Amino acid sequence: MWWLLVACAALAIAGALFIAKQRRAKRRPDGLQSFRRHMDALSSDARQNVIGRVKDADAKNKGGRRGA
Amino acid sequence: MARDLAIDLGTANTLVYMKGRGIVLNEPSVIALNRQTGEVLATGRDAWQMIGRTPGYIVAVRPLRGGAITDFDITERMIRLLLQRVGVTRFNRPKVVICVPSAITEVERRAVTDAARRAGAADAQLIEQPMAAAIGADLPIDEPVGNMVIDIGGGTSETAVISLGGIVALEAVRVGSFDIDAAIQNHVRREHGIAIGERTAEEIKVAIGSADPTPDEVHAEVRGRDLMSGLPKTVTLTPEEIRNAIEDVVSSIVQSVIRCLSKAPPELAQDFLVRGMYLCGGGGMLRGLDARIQRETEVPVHMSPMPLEAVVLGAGHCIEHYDALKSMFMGARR
Repeated sequence: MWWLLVACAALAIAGALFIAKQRRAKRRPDGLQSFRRHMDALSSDARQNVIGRVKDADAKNKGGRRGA
Repeated sequence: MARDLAIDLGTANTLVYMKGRGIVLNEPSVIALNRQTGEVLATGRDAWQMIGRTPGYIVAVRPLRGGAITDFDITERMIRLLLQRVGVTRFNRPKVVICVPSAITEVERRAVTDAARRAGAADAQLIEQPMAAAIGADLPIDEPVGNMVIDIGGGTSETAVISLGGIVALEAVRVGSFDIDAAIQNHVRREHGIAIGERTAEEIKVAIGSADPTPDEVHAEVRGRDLMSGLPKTVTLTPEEIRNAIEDVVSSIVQSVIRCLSKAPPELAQDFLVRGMYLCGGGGMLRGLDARIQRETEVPVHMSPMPLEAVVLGAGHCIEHYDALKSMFMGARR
């Protein structure tokens, strides 16, 4: 039975280490990665969705008004 | 499930962008109230039409002046009605990003976020108008180059230099297109002896107002009340006299742009000569303003593709990429 106890202890230690690492990662986000994510979100490609949606709506409205 | 919202709570107009949908509301920031009962009678365009034409018991007011809340209760009620109109209920509370002038005080910031939360927002974050305008004008602010944006609203004019997703230099003055309207009202009263309302002053500005001489200048006939006799009277105004009347306001806007240029680091300043600066906001549409700024700064000035919507589009982009861009919100950086 002793091997079962050793396995359980090893698993518990591994689990505790994993949780501690995850917490540390959450507490201190990688500056490089978050900066890149920030810049990607601000890129012109990322913005096309929002601007395109409004331009489409604008064009549709103008078309509607012309038809009326 | 509530759809998150971006609100451009302007002194003149309020625009609402709904996540995944686009701009769902664009109306004047005006509310009409019954003075006796305190009941809201109208908001937006309906209330705007009542300005200066109401009986004694009705008052149509703009709850924001110079980009700041002048009446907390009325602003809260206006935001609540706006949120109701775009489908927000008690059980359906969205996250809200609100665009505010960069120069607002801590107390004013808290007033805006409190008003939004009380009006039904689950969370309210603030973003500076020039930053939102730069995003909405589709400037390459993610690149290490100098981007300059001039946002002229109803009550504030803000100029910002933006590079790598952050504001490098900023200059703001509490002067905007409502001050141009007021200058026109004062001029007509002083020089022609007639009283006109703020809507008429705005119509004069749109019809013949300019910051620099333009080739297609025409005269305008204006009707008002004679201050001596009290009778209705018509006078003719020239573009030149209106230009002189609004000179102080235009000049203070141009001076703030020059101050911002002088604050910019030299590495970025040389970018402006190539890339130019971008004008947005309703006040930026004043005839000849781009030419005037260009003449005085010797930097090319371009009009933003959607000058009236640029700010709300920028805030809308932030709500679409909320997690990636939340570090841009005003509280997050301190």
